[in-house]
Amino acid sequence: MKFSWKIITTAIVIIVVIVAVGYYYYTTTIPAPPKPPIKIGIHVPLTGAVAWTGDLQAKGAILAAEEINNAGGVLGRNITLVIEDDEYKPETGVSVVEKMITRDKVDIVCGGISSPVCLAVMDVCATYKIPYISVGPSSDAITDKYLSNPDKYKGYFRLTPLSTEAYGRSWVVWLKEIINEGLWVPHTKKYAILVENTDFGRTNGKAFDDYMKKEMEGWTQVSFEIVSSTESNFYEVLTKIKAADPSVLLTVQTSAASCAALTKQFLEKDIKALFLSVFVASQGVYKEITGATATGVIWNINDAFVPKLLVGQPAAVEFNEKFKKRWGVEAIPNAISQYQSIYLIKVAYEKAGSTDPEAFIKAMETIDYTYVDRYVFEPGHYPKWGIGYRESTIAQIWEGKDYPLWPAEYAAKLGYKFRLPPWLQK
Amino acid sequence: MIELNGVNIIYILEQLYNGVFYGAMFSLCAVGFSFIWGTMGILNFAHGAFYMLGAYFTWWIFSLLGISPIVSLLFAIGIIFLIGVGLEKVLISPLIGKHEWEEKALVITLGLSVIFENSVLLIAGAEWRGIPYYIEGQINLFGINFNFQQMAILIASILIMITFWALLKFTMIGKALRATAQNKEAASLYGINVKKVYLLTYGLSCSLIAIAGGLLAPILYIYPTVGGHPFLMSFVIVIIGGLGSLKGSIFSGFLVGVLRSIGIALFSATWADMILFIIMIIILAVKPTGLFGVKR
Repeated sequence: MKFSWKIITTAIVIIVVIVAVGYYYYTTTIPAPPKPPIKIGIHVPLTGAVAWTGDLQAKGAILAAEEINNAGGVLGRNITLVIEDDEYKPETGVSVVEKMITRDKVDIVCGGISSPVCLAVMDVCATYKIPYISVGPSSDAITDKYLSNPDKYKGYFRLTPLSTEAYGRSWVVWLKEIINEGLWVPHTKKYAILVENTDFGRTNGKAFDDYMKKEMEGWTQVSFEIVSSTESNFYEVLTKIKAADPSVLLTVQTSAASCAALTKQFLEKDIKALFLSVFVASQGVYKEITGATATGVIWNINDAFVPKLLVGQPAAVEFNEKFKKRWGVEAIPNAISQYQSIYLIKVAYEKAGSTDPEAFIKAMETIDYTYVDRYVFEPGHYPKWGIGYRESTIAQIWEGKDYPLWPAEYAAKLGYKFRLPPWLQK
Repeated sequence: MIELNGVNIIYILEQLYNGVFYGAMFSLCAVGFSFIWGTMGILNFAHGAFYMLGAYFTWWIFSLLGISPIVSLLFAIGIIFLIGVGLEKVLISPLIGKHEWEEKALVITLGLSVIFENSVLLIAGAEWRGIPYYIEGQINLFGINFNFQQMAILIASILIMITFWALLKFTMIGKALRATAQNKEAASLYGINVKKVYLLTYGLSCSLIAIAGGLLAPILYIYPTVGGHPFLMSFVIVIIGGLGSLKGSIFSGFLVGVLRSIGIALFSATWADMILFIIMIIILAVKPTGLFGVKR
């Protein structure tokens, strides 16, 4: 047979077309392997004195992850949470986070309530170059650590505003307001501070002390006592404070039962001072333990979820409703913060277009995210504090319920005013 | 305010009262710890766990049956006594007389402590529990508020220690216990059943600290690791007072309480426990057997 280039060429073309069509159908009919999930490691205390708060905080994260996955995930990938108990101890926090990074291969770490745990975990995440968002820890020592080496800790972001402002300054602003409005006349210009022996306690006690000295003319600090975080016998310390006759007693504790014991013994000692509690008296478990005896206690938290809920802010109401529906309990500030942290991660990853840590960091530094709170990060990787951003709340407990007093706009909308506590009315 | 040379007398008296209250509480804790050492020669590392169990059983009975906390406490003491006797019979008694039995008993009691704490954590959870004051109300005398619960605990602690002393001093059982503590071989020769003495010793010791746990529960609350501090204080007090000396435990308990209150009054709460350990170290350096202890 004569060699024909025409036949050979035609045969080659036909073979190529058949192979190309076959390859096309072959690759399009076999489903692409699923994209691996984005793993978020969450560390919270699930045992110990703060377990109640830690458990609800974890539930906030789970709710957010479920919603995001139901809506299609992040960059086409589902979120998987790896939740571990840090026992509120730095050594346990380090151990579980290291396990999450090395064995569970998480893409990012998030969570926490304890500042010492956060300080320890920062180093673990920095070593493995994994981004870390702390949700509950509020000590300014954390930001000091970040600022001491911003390059090493560049992957770290905190969701709580600086304590000096959120706790220290807000108390002083509020005290000045109620004195100027004539709602309270202090019988002495003295204040006492009683804090737990943790970074959270000492830092916030000092912040209050610094702002009182700076902004309250003529006022003197008469006592600065530091006690164990699980202390429940305060008789000697309260006797000492009573002898100094302050008009204000600021307490900083994280254990609700310890604060409940302090409240009870404070009332027994008949100390004629305002009882100001940083954080823990805002927790439901404190009110459960103290019952009606907490009437008149004033608390402060570096969060405005409670007043926003009360004034009917749509996002706060929506979150509380879906949290209650999912878990059967009312939401707490730590839960919404943790919930928002998962959404922040989602938004940052989508903005970055990937889960690359460097791209994530750049995205977080320029993020402007609003749900219940508005998150815009300052150069120190902490959120901007103030009205319209991350706000603080001061509220008074009266017969088992919380009455927001500050920021003033929420109190005004609700018609609440400061009331003289029962022990000062005698 | 009553002043003497610029010193607020009422404040000093109130701090002394706080110190005596604290001292009474921990003397009661320490007496049982010292008693076991004196009679059996073992350090009971489960001592703090029985404090915790006393508190929890009081709470459990009160919560489940809705009866008076005082009656709940009495039932709790009975249960703890039986648990103590049972543990001694099953775990410690078989070791007695064997090679290095004191060290093995120490390790067993340490293990028991961990088992009890974790069991309670699993059953009752980590949440702090509370029970109402046994006696509500307070009285103001000379500007000092005395709450009835504290006064009741103070009086009860002192009465219990007096009763325990009287038991040891004036009853046949007490004489048997003391004889065994002094020389168990001689006691045995005199017909004293040393094994039964040990059973009673362990049961009584656990009951004493369980009473402290139940009495203090309304003030200090209840949680799985609540026994840690009382155990540590018992240890320090017994070391200061002398291992095996009941008189020493009671005296040093009150001494520790008063010095702690003075430390807080003069310095700060941060110094409170530090002062105790400084005293312990000084006493051990000067008199290693403790204030009232004797060499074994």
